[in-house]
Amino acid sequence: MRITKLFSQMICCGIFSGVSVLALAQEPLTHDHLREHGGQIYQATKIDTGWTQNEEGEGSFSSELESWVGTDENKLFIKAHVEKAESEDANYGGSVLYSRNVADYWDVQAGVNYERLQREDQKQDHWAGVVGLHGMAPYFFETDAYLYAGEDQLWKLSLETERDLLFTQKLIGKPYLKADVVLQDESHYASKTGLSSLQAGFQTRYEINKKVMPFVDVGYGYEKGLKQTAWQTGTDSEHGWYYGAGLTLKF
Amino acid sequence: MSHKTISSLVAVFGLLVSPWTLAAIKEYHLNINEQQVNVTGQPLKRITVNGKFTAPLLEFEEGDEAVIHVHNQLKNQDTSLHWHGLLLPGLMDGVPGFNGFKGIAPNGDFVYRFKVKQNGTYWYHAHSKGQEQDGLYGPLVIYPKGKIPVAAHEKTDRDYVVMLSDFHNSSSDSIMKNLKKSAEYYQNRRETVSDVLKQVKTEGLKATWQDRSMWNQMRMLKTDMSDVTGYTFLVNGKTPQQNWIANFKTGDKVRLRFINASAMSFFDVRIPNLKMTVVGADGQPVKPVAIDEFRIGTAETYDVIVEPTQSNYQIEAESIDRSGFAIGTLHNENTQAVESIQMPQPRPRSLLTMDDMGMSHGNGASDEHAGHQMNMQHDMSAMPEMKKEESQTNHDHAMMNMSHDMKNMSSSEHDHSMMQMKHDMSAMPEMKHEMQAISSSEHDHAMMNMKHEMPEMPAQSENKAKKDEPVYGWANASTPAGMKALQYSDLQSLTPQPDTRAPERELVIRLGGNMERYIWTINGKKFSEAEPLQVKYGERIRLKFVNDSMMAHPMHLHGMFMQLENGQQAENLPNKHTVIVPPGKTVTALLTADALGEWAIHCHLLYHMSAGMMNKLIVAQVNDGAVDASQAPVQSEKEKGASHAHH
Repeated sequence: MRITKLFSQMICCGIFSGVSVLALAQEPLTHDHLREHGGQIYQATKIDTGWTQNEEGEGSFSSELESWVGTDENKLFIKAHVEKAESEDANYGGSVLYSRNVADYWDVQAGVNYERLQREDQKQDHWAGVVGLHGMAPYFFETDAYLYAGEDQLWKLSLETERDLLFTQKLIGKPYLKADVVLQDESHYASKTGLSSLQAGFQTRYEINKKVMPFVDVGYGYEKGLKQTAWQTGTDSEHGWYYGAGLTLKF
Repeated sequence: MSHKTISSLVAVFGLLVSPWTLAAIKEYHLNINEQQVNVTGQPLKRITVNGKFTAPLLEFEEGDEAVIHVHNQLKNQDTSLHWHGLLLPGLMDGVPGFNGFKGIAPNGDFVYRFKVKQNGTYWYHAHSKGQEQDGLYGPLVIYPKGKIPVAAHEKTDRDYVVMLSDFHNSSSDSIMKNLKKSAEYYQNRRETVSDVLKQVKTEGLKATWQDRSMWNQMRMLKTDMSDVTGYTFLVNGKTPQQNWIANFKTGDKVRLRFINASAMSFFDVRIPNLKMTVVGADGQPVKPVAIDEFRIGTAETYDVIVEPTQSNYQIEAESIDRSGFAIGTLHNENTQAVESIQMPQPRPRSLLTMDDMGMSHGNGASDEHAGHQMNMQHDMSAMPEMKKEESQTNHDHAMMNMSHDMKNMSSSEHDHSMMQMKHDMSAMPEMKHEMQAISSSEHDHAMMNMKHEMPEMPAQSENKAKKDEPVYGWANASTPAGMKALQYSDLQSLTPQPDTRAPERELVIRLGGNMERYIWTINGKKFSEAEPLQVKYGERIRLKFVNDSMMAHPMHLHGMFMQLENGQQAENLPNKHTVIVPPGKTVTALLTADALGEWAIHCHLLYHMSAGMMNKLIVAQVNDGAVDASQAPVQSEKEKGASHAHH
């Protein structure tokens, strides 16, 4: 319930900011015809929702939203995610990023990131500034790389990259890699520094059409564990296989 | 009193004179509206003109005064009509934002009024957003004065428009939005893992990797023959099932006016068992060329004359991505009625090669070049003669010989190496350089021949090859052996060109694209961010279209005809309003800037234009001071150019 509410809020927020960009761009109507040939505003939204289980049979629900609105040069990106492991509270967060096209296949992005962690009746709100790169590397690797600098001396790098592998026009594999490197974190519920998490997996989706795509997912995950602090006990690293299924929606 | 008599006298005089001054007024009223139409079995809201889907045929005679009242009855969108290929004052050209034309507001009217200065086959369409795709297009035919044929060979008994178009169940607006979400949105015949495995099997891992890695580094698809699929192709607004029929009688000569009024499609057009004689290109008369088939780019027109003898023929226009056919029928009206059409077998789809890419693309890494050159040497060894020639300093000569050699190699064992060679030719950087540097007409001739001969060769090999074997090269239409496909180099103006001056300068128009984000540009800029191109009134220039992208672009210039440099003599160059610039190729055309105004120059693939592939070419009188300043060098250059031409 809370999740849906959260999503509707996020979408609302996205639409609102989209509209404001739109209104801004539409002011000089004198060059309307010019705008119709390369200056238009477009948008794209993608929601991935899935259920994943690890080797121990512990399940977790996760959902991710990515939406952009803007011109070829200037876009507003909204990213949101929520994860809820069985019998635990949900963690959620998101980023709002300004995206500026700097090269054929690359955007530089900057903005703010918010994360909320829920640990044994304690909530931790965490704000960070984000800068990064979004684009497509040679060999069709869709790539996002960000540097986070936030409260409690947080310095974190994240990298996500993936590419499509067509089995048929509709059955499409997607090898992917996600990694977080914590350089420093002095927060109450910090993760250990170093390569704090890594996921390497292979998602296979079936594109019923270009809007609805169920998928299955299998991969190998690694977590370095939690740092020993005054507010939490440290944990050891974990790694193992996970598998899951879900649905991607694009509109 | 006297005042009254004078005015009545004037009135009488006016009436007497009117047959000469006013008789030639040809008036049309066009109401643009939105209505439900049912083309594919699904009722869809589309744009109609006078209640018709695909707008009605407009007919004029040369010398007419055209008066076209356009009423915009669309609810909430501006509209416009552009008369494609017509020579007219800028304001009447109908492009919003050009020459002070602001489009036609909802419930608004605009009266287009212009003198009809030419004859031939043309068309008209909206120049506002994607309205053209949504149905706002129709044929426009101008007959010679008194309907007297411009030449004896053009005398025909029947005259039909064959307007080809592409109909989509999605609106133009949503197609564009989808392309912007994902440029691959409509790519439904991409290569798959099994294609890669097949290639590994036949060519080996190393060759496959070399080939694939280039495409991968450039982030491009070999299968991108057209950006939008899902079209139903129409002839005069009719689907193949609805079968548009043109009647003839035994012994009739029939003129077919082919118009490619599609938004995004190129067609390979043929009428099995019937020779066609091309007599017009882009509305302008050309010396007759007998052919079996032709490729027609978006917005181009071709007039052909046929002399049917069978009782029925099927007109087959196959989209170059091989996703479908537009089909119509020629029927002898004294024979039994035609049964339903026969859907022809699609020809194999071509895969793009590195040749289509042009090696000038992007920041082509040096290792790519190296890889290519390795291949080249390998292939060259298969052609010792060529290698010998190539080492000579006279490159032009070598090229000519090469094409010669290639033509002669027809046995099947050589086919493969031939294909390879075509592929690698473009990889020879120096050579390509040479080719582009050649500018005088006789050298062009050699170049054009080579370019045009080459696409035909893989076709021959294809015939022998198995059905699912891939076919390579954008220009490869899989024309059966022994069949003649029209080439640009075949076109010659029927009447000598009035202006055969050498160009005073060259205007380079680089066509670029970013397929990943669906951005299309001219000289690296979208129209929304571009500076207009400036040309002096009366100036003679060369338009040099350099295609840095992997898609073909039908480049259209408003307001003036370009003389396509196709290897023919200067006085025989054909007039074109739309020039296909194949992927990775350079095409040049001469232009006499004899029409003042702001003229659109753009890719006629609708969504490429919407994405930014457009610019404004301004033809203006240069003010006195500037003229004085610039006249002298221009003059001398002209002389130099002239002497050069004579030489």
